Amino acid sequence: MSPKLLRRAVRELNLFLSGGTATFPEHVFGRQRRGSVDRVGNRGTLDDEPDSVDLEGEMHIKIIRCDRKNRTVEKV
Amino acid sequence: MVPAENSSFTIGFLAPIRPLEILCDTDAVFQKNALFGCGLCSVVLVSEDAEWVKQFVNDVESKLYGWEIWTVRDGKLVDRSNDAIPAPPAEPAIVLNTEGVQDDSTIWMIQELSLNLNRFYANARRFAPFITDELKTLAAEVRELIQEIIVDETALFIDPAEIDAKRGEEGEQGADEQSQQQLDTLLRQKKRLNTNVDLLVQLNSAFVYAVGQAFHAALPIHQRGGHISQHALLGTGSAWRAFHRLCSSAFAIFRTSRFPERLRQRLEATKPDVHSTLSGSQDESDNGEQELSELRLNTRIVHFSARRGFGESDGAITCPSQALQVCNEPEWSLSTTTHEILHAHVRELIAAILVEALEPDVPLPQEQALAKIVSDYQKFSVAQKRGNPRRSQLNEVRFGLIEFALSYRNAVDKAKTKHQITQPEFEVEEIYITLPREIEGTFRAFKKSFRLLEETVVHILDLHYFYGGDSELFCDSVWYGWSIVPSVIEKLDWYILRSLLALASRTSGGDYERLAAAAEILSDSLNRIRRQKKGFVIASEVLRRIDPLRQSSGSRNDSAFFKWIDLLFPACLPLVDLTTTFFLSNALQREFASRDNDLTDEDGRWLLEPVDFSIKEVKAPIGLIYARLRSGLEAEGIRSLPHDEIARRSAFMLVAASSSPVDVDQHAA
Repeated sequence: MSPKLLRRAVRELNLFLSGGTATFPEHVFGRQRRGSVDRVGNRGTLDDEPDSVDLEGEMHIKIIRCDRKNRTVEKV
Repeated sequence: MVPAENSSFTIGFLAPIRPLEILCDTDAVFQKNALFGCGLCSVVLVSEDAEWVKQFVNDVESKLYGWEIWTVRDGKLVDRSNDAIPAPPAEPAIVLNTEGVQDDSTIWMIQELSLNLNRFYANARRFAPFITDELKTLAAEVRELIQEIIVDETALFIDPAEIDAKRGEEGEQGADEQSQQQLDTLLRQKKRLNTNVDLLVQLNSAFVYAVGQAFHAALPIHQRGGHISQHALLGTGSAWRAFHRLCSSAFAIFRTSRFPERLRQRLEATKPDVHSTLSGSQDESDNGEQELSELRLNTRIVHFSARRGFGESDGAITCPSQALQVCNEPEWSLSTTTHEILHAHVRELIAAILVEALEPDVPLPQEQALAKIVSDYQKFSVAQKRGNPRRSQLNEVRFGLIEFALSYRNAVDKAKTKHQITQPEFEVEEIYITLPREIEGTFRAFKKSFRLLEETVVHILDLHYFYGGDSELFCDSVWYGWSIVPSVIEKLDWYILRSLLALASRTSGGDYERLAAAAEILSDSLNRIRRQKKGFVIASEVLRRIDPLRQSSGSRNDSAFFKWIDLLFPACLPLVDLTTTFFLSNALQREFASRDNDLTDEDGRWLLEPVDFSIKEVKAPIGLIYARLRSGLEAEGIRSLPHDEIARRSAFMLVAASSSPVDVDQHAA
C-alpha cells in the first residue's frame, strides 16, 4: 500500500463519516463547532445515539445474554 | 537583576537553538543576569554592564537562531540592534496554483493558504528549520486536494439543458437509470468538494494560529504581533516548539513503522514478492516524491488554542493555551497530546483495513467498499449458522468492526427500552444483534458508533504505547485531565465506559469479571484523586456510579447506570479484544518504551529538581512529560504551590522539551 493510497483512503473514510458536511475552525466562531464526526476535545464527547432498531425483518446475527444476577455473559 | 525605575541598563534577547544549552551556564554573573521564558527568545539577559551582554551574545552566537539587544537609558528605550535579518525571498518558496479552480471563494481560500504557508516557511527557514520539509510535503498534499477540487467543481456548473437533451436521446427508462447514476455521481462530487474545501479552511486556520505562536517575537521583536496577551512581548515560540517536538517525535515513529500498511499486508497474507491488491505506484522515478510525501503522512499542524481542552482534527492538533501557565500540573499535562496523536494513527489503521483500490493509488469510494464488506459479512453470518464459516484474517477484522457497530446500535436501543420499563432487579437481559434490511441502516450504525469505536481504540493504544501498560497511571492521568473539562460532566456515563473498556484490555476472564476488575482499578484511581484534594466533585460522582460494579463492593443498588453499563460493556468488549489482537503493535510498544531518558529513575520518575539547569538537552520529550506527570500526580493538590512557581515550572518544562540534541535537530541547507 503506497502512502498516497493510504492518505487518500483516510480522506475517503473522513468523507464517508462526515457525509460531506464541514466542521468549522475555531477562529471563525471563537470556539470549535462540531460536524457530524467530532474528534475534538479532551477525548471527545458522545452526543449521537443510534437509530431506533426495528427487529422485524432484520437479519439475526447473535444474542448477547447478560445474566445480571449471576454476573455472567453468554454470546449465542 | 531587577533594574530600578528610570535606570539605564541593557537587555539581550537570545533565541537559542537549544535553550538548555545556554541556560546550563553556571557562571555566577550569568546566573544573576539571566531570565528564561517560553518565547522564541527564551533567554533574556538584563544587566547594567552593556559590554558583558554584548560579549556574552558574541560568545554564544553560534548556538542561536538570532539575537537582539536593547539599550535603555533613564527608563527609555534608546537603541535596538539585532543580527542580520535576511531579506525575504523575491519569489514564494511554495506555490499553490489555482489554475483550473472555478469557484471564486475557493480561489481566495487557496491564495490565503498559500500566503500563510509561505509566511510560515519563510520564518521556519530561520527559526524552525526542522519543519521546512514537512511544509513542502504538506504543500504537495494541498496540490492533490486542489486537483480533486477542480474535478469535483464540475458538479457546481452543470448545464441542465445538456442533461435534458441526453434524456431525450436515451428514452424514458434508460433516461431514468442514467439520470439516477448521474445524480449519484454529482452528489458524491459535491460531498467530496465540501470535505476538501473544508480541509483547506482547517489548514489555513491552523496556520494562522501556528505562525503567530511559533514566530511572534521572532526578530526584530517589536515588529511582530501575537494574540496571546500575556506573552505579547516575547511570544510563545519555544512553547510551540516543545509542543511540535512532542508531536513530531511520535509521528516520526509511526511513520517509520508503517504499521497500518504492514497490518493490511499481513492480514491479506500476501508474500513479499507478490503485489497485494493495494500496490501503489512503484515506479523508481517516483521514489523522491514518494519519500517527500511520506514525511507529511499523518502529521498535523500544531498550535495553542483558546478552547479549553486538547483537540485533534484533520488539519491540526491543539493544546489549550492555559497549558503555557500550568502544564506542570497533572490536569493540564501535555501527556494528553499522545491521545490526540493516536487519533491520526487509528484513523489510518481503520482506513487501511477498509480500503479497496479502484486502481493503483485510487481508493474505491468508501460506501462501495463498505457495502461489499457488509455483503460479505452477511454471507459469512449465513454460513456460520450452517456450521461452515470461513473468513480471511482481513475479514475477521472487518467483520469485527461491523459487528461492533451493530452491537452498539442494538445495545443502546435495548438500554433505552430497559430504562423506560419498570423491571424486577437483576434479571437476564438479552440483546439481539441484527443486521438492518437496507445497507443504509448499517452505514448509519457504523457512522454513529464510530466515535466510541475510535475513542476506545485510541485509549487502549495510549495505555499500552505511552503509559507502558500502567493502568493506574493511565487512569489517574485521564481522570485528572477530565476533571477540569466542563463538557465531561454531562456525559459522565460514556467517559466511564471508555475508561472501563481501556482498562479491560489489561484484564482477563468473563465479561463481568473484567468489568469488575476494571472498576476496581478505576475506583482506586478516583480515591487517589480525592485524597490529593483535586477533582473531588467529578471523582466522587463517578465513584458513586461505579461502586456496585466492583467485586469487593457490598452494594446491590440497581441504578440506571448499572443497568446501562451491564448492557453496553459486554456489547463493546469484543472491540477491546480486536484491538489488542490486531491493532496493537509489539514493535511500536517497544519503540515507545525505549525513551532513552537518563533523567528518570527506573520507575519513570523525574530525577531532577522541578526547575533544573544542570542538563543541556532532552532526548525524549515524551519521556520528560510523563516523568513530570508522575511527580505531579504524587503531589498534593489545591493551592499547594504559588501561582508564579507553577508558571515557572511549566515554562521550564516547555523550554526543556524544546531543547533537542544536536544529532536530532535538522537544519535547512
